[in-house]
Amino acid sequence: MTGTAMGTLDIVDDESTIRDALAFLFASVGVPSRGWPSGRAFLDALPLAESACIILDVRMEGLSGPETFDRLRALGCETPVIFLTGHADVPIAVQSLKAGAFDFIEKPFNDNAIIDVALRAIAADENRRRKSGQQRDLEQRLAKLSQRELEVMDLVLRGFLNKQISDALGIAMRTVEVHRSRVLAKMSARNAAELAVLLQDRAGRAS
Amino acid sequence: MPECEGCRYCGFPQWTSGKPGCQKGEVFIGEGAHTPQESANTSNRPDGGQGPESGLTDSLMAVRRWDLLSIIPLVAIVALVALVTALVWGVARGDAERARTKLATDALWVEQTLRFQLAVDEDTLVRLVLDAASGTAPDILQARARLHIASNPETNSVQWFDQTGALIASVPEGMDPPGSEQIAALLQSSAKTARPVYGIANEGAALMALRRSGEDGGLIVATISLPMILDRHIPWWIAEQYAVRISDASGTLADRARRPVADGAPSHSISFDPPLSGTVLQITAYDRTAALGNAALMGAIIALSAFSVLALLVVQRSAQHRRRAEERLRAEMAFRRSMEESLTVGLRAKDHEGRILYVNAAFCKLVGLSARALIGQMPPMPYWPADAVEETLARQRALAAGGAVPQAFETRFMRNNGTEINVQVFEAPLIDAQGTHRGWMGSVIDITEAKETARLARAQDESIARTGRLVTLGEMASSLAHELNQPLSAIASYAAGSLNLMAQAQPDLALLRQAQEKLQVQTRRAGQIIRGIQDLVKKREPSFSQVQLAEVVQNTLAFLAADARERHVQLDASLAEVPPLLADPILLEQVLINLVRNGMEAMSANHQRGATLTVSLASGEDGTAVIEIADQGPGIAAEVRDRLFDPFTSTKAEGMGMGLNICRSIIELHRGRLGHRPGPTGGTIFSVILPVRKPDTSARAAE
Repeated sequence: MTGTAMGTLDIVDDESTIRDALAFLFASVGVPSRGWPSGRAFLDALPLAESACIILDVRMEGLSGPETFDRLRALGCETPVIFLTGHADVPIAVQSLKAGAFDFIEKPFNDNAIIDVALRAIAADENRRRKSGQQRDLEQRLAKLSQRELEVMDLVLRGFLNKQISDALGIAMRTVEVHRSRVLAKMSARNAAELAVLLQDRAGRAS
Repeated sequence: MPECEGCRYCGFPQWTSGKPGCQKGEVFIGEGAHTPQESANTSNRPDGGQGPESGLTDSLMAVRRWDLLSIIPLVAIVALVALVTALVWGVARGDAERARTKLATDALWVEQTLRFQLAVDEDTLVRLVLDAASGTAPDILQARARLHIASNPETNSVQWFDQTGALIASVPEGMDPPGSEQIAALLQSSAKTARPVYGIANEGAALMALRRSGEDGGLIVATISLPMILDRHIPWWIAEQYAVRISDASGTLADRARRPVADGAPSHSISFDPPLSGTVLQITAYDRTAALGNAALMGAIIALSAFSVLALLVVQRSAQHRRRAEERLRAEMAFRRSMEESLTVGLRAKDHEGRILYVNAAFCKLVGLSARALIGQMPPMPYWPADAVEETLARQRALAAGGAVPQAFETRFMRNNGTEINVQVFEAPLIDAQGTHRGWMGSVIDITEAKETARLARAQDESIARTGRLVTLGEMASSLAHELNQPLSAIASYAAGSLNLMAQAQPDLALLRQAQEKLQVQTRRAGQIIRGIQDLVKKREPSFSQVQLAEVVQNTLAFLAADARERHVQLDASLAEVPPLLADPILLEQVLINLVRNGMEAMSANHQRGATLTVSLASGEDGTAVIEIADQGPGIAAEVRDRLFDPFTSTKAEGMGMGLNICRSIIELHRGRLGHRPGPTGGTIFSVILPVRKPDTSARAAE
């Protein structure tokens, strides 16, 4: 795995031994990590752009794991969260899972299980980020379109021919062709089919 | 408001306190003292009201009534006095009338006497004249006149005068004749009549003249002394009572009086003309004894009536006193009754047979039955719980046997709605005014709440004790797990990380070393945690001694007696002789407490009441002692049976599932066995089998 593209792992546990041990474990597989002694300290440090996964201990002094989790979600942070639990904390962890946590790991850890879960979480985060990056890109491109170009694109996507578009908008065929080529250029699409694929998600969202 | 029926029993002379209405010998009639609430409201209050206003009306009405009553004797006395006064006045009037009549009669009598005497004198003169006419010698006539004077001393003299008024003869001789004018007047007046005529001489003497017959036509004149005639011819009984006086216009002619008469004394006057012209005879009474007597009588009457009025006032005063005393008594009674009714302590009086004689409102409220339903009841009482009747009867017999000594005990009552309450009863002997022990007075306090509080406190204490003894083991396990999790997690991480590093082509040895060192530290830390727990366990090392198992069982049952009562579980023990064995009595007790409590919980979870849990101790096979705890609960479900002693297995909602596990550990520590089997009639029997042989404790202690 390549470390450079990888996001950072945030370990929130009041036990320094655990933080250190987990940091070592993740370092051994090339995942960079940071330790936070309490939920409060971590929340205060937000926002952390490079954070790819958060490991939260359930039982902590001050803010407990689930409490910290609730606040993170309230702040709009969608980074995946993995809970560390003891035997008696399992029901709490299950509850958190239902509330949207990524997973929970029971202490003591089982070899590389935690690494697998963490890597899955990081991958999921990356996927989420990429999707949101493409989305942002698409939005930027759409922003470049003029009102008329948007109208033309809309009709193109609905499968209208140039003649039909010209009739519908009351403009010359020649003008439609110009708009159409500009739309494709601004949206970096080679043809109408590519444009349709590009805007699939958006259309799904809009409907 | 329950109605008190105590009145019926008020003839019972034993209310010496608390019931002022029921003093010995009193009989209560009508609305009287005995329906406490009722009478407090209605007695002597026609308006039926309560409070100070009606009390005022009450007393005002009493005063008005009292006034009317007190006026009647006063009016009677006044009327009596008036009547008696009228009577006395009437009698006095009659007396006065009688006295006046008597006075008049006496006056007439005196007049008659005087007239009679004058008639005697006249007669003498007439005879002398007649004799002279018949030719009797003057000597003889004079002698006769002398005789007359001798026998009638009031006649001073008899004298003969001729026609011209010259003195012819005088008897006695030498008496001065009266004045010539007087003689002339007599001559003149006698000429017209043959009757003697009278004139008044000087010095209170009367002159009696009679014309002599014959040629010369002279006069015979007798001089009569008026004082003398009064002296001689008025009888003594008249003289005693009256002053007699003869008077004419010029003044008193003659007078007879013992003493001077008072002014205004009753007197009577009669004209004494004729014979003496212009004269009046007057008699005057000396005394007024009758009037005085009347006055005394009147005085006595007035004094008596004054005394009567005084006596009346005194009586009224004392009546008022009594009335006030009654009011105070009534107020006191009402106060006592209200105190008694507002008591929160239930009061119950019963006689030696146990018959209820009296209950107060608080008692009625306590048992939820009316006084009507309770009074007169004989045991068993309706408020005794069915399962405590025997016990209560036995206590009553003990109470009777114990003599007149106050006693206190706790028991249970059943309210009429079926709920049971715990009560504290204080029985004190009921001693009447004669000092006879008539029964028992009980004060009953509801201690259900207090008991509940005590039970909760005890439960809390027990839970603390449990935390300190058995449960700590379970908690220790939990905390041990948590403590060990940390280093173990760290160790696992370091180990896994190290393996990952070693898998690389050129592992970073410095990093690996660092990780191994940290791993070592965490291993040590885990070891320390284990040692810490061992230290803790060492402090709880069992202390073995020679133990009588019977004592252990008894201690356990005593410890759980209160708990059993609350759960309505009967604890039975059957203890056989077992030789003493070497054991830790505290740990064994803990095991038994756990097992017995499990049994009780099983039974109360099943909502059984009055179920019995039996603990038996007996000798078993191969020199063992067997303690069996048999409950009548629902038994153990088959799916639980096989893993009953596993940790974290519990049939109880709040159970940790460590109890039986620890129990078994303790029994195994004693080289015994803990087992269970279904009871022959349902329920479960837990058996603790302990070897009586001396256990090899040294090996265990060393572990």
